[in-house]
Amino acid sequence: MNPVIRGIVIYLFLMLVFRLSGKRTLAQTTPFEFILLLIISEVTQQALVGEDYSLTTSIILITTLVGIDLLFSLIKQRWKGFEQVTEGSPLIVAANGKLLPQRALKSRVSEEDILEAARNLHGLERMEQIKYAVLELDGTISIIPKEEAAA
Amino acid sequence: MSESNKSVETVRHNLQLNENIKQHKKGWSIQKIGWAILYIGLVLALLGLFGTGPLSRKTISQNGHSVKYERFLRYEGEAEMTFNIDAAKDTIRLEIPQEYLEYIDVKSITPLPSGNTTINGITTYFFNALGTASIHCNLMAKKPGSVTSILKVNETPFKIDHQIYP
Repeated sequence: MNPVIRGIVIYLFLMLVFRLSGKRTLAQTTPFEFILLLIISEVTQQALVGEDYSLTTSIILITTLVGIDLLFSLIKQRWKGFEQVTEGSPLIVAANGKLLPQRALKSRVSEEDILEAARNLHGLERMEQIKYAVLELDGTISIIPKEEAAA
Repeated sequence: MSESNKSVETVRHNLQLNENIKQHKKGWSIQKIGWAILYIGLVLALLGLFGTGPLSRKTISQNGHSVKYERFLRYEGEAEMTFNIDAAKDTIRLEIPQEYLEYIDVKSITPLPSGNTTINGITTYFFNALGTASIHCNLMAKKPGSVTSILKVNETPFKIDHQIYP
């Protein structure tokens, strides 16, 4: 198969799978998830190049992948709706010291995840010290501490 | 939209944040459908819809002879095809048409044929045999697509069909 088509199919498939699996998947790479990521990249590499290890194929594939990524970023820039479809939007998962259970459940975020982010980012000790916890596009959780906790 | 999606908490906040909750709800619903498709695909792969499994294995019997092969192949993937011949007398003739060989590469045949010819687009392999015999062909799909061909063993036709995935 033509390497350009291979590259486009693999790019779109990976984008679809990671979009479907949710933001939290592979957001924080535990040692196991890191290995999983390596295996995925190895399998992808085989599907992309097959038995053809030529320099030409490599150049075509790199150009295809960078090209399609550039094209997508241009579309995202011009049409915000496309960005929301492909990457989603941030989501508040805790507000005023309380976990928002439905939001957390659906986005697969636990109270422990929020507390971990709060400890890591601001050295906070309890949920009550958190004003907002936001699940960002890249799957990380950002914490806005209450003013008294930040002081 | 599911009932549970409607119960998602409403938050009044002063953050400069483009939180599109309607789109999130739609996304969660689509995500569930996507997961279902993903797992259905996995089960089908396990069953052999994409090769190597009970759905893929096929056996055809005719005139006491039989052939066992994989219906679903993957591009550049290897597979086996075995012919079982009953009451062979002196020579077995295995005829493979050219149209089949355009899609499938016969990498090896066991036992080795004693000879072969190509006449009018049909490659014929000859084997010295007596009684019951088995011929194993190691195949490799070299072109994606669908191929249906008639392979003959001692004039007994076998309709072989392969679906080759890219």
